[in-house]
Amino acid sequence: MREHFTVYLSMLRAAVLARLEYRADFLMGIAGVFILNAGTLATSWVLLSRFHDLNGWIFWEIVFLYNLWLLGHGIRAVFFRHINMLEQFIVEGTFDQLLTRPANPLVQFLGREVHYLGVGDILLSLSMLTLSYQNLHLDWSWWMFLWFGVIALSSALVEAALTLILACTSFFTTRSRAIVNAASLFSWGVVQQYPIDMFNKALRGIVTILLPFAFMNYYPSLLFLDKQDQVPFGFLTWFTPLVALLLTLLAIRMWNFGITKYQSTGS
Amino acid sequence: MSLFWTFSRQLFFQQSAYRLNFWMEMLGLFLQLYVVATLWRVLFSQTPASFESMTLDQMITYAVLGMLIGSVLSIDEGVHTYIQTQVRMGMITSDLMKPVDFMLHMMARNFGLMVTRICFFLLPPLVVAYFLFDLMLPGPLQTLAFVLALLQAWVILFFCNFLFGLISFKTLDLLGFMFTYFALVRFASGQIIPLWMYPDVLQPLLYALPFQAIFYTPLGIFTGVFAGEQIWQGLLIQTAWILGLWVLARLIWTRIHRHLVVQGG
Amino acid sequence: MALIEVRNLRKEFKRLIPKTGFLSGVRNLWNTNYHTHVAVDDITFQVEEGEMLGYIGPNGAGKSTSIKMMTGILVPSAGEISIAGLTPWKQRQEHAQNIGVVFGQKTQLWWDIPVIESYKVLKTIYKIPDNLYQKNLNTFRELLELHEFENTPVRQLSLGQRMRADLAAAMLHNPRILFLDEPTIGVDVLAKERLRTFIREINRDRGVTVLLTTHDMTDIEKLCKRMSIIDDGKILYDGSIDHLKSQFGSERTLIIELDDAPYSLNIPDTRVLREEGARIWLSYNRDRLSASDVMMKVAAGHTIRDLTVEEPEIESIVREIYETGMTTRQKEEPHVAVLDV
Repeated sequence: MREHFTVYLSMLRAAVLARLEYRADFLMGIAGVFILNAGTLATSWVLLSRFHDLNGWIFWEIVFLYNLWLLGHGIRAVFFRHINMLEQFIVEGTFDQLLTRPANPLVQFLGREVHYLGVGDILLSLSMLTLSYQNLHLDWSWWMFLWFGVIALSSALVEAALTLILACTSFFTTRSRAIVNAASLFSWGVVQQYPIDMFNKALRGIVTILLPFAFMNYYPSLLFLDKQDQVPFGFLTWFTPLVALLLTLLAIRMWNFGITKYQSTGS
Repeated sequence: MSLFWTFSRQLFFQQSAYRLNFWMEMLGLFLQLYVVATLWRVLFSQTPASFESMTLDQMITYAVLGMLIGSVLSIDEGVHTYIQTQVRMGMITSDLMKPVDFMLHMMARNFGLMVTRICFFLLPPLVVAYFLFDLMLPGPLQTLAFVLALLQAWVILFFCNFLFGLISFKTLDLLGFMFTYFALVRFASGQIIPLWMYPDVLQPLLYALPFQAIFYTPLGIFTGVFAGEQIWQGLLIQTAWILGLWVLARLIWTRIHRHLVVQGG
Repeated sequence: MALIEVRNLRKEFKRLIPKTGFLSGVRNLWNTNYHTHVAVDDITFQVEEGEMLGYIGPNGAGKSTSIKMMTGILVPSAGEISIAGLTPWKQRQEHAQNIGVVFGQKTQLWWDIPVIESYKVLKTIYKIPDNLYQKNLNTFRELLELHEFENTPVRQLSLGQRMRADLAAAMLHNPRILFLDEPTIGVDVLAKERLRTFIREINRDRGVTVLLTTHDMTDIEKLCKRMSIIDDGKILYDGSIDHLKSQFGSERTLIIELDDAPYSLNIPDTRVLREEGARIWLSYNRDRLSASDVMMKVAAGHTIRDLTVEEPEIESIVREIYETGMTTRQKEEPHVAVLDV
């Protein structure tokens, strides 16, 4: 474990150095993220200024929901955005190199890159979360802030692990991108901006069990916004760290299985 | 015209090569359709009064169709992304040297892309969506107006994309602007929310932009939000935008082209 | 036991058969027809410690696939590999410590950071002790003139420099075996020479076993005593280069310089390749004629001033082998290469 950590840190250092070569992208990335999310939030604002609430969630609650997702997503994007690009790593032969070195391929893969885009996500989400905290007149005790930190990290882990599990399909077929894209639609197209209690059981089931993206923001928000008694399965609000842990273990298994498959098919 | 079909055929076959991508994109599309339909059902059941004269059927047809024609009137892929790639790779000169007018050539390319996407990503899912979401169907005259509006919308979007793509001649990279453009078109075109629902303060701004003519006009005609004279007005406004944008694109393009020729590419 | 032992190695891939004809694009959406492609077909060979083996073959012959199996990237469909007593894909990490790998097409280094920073990461990954790292780095700085570019990001290096950087990277942890997959591809002549010198030196001074694939026969001639030719997944030839030259390549060229201009030189069974003043290039088949036959026939009508028999280029021999496959050939004693009259 300690060895993995040493290798990861050393690779991370190289990744940061590499990224610093492209300083100009930094501001561009942040500006882009702000504008893109402002557009989505503006749409929500137009809707909710006419219709007041969405299945019981008022505008600032939606803002909270949205930005809790964005925070986890941003943390994931800074460190693990290249999980989506596993297919490219394989096609271009970068992945083969990882296998010729005496270190764990997953550790090497995860440490291969860092990204700027997520920084904008993190900055924006933190400021929007602060705004909604004020506008909703929330008043958390100290342990709640601690829990919030745990949730933010778990939420990043949920997304990273889920994406990795899906990206591992690159080991079986070279066309994993389509699968990753379709699945992540359940993330940014469903749980990111809508409280999932407005959807039918099937879709709720999918984003809770099959592709549990809802643990990134919806379930943890229930506690923060004191809604856990108003919706079905509100108790799941406590489960995000556990889900994150299970998904991570599953992702590691999937990765190891995928590598053996790749080594024997070479697809 | 034969140029149009050659490009169309070519792109059509390129597209069909990606089989898994196709099924996955379909899955994603229907998920999004379900999401928007549910969104409006929930909102309608909460406060039907806020929809004024609009019925739930109308609203759902509007939202579903908006999503569907979004895959034909694409913002994330088109002439602008093509120009950007060519400029960055330094290959734009080879496009300029072709013995066809660049703008016409680009239009032909995009026409092909549109035909492909209509065949694969609009018509089949439209049939399925019709049964799945109980869509409304307009009368024959409205249908005709809708097809006309859709075609004009495509031309307007082409010019908008084209003008936007020209920025890359100055900056070499569109990524930063891309986000802005993307957010602006999505917000101001009425693809997701009918424009009349927007707060009054925003209305003048929305109508001053060409984007409402891309989604709001065809969707409004199809769903009956536009009635009687409004239909013809909408179509005429579209035509006016086409003329205006065409003149603007020509002017700017001629300047850029002259500049490029002087520089020797 | 030899350092590298490969026995009955086989590797199959499955490929989709695309449909053609009417609406092929649409029907391909649910196509599930695969066919099996045998990339490596029952290969057996051994490499002794300290040997340099040239491993050649046309594109798609199975070179890369076999290298990938020997480096532990792929698992064979059948057969065995034992390298320094380890099975590459089973004891991948231990095996990785024993080998160095350079893929000419793709750098091992981080594209955007200075070369030296990439080395630092490799030092951690390979757990190279400080003193060994410093010692090796200094040696390579001298041999490969790394100091010219060690603080430059890889993306700004020339291909030759990049290859030098990659070679040093592969050697930092003192591997016993070096796998070089097209290490001179796209590199200019001068830089190629420098790379070859380095490879020769590490083989000689450090006893590193080298397995090298290339399309440049000069690499093979200058570096290896032994070569393996692979095509269609099978080994067509495995042996010394001298043997190859003597055994194959029946086309010979006789360069004759005559006293008179050779306007009407017409010898049966020969072909005039080129004429240049009084010099003439005559090609003949060694299996049917001997050099002295040709010489005598020419001498019958002309006065020969000078005469040389050109050795066949290894490249043309190899091409001949690819083209004809490994058909049984007449074995003949090698001819005297140069005749002076």
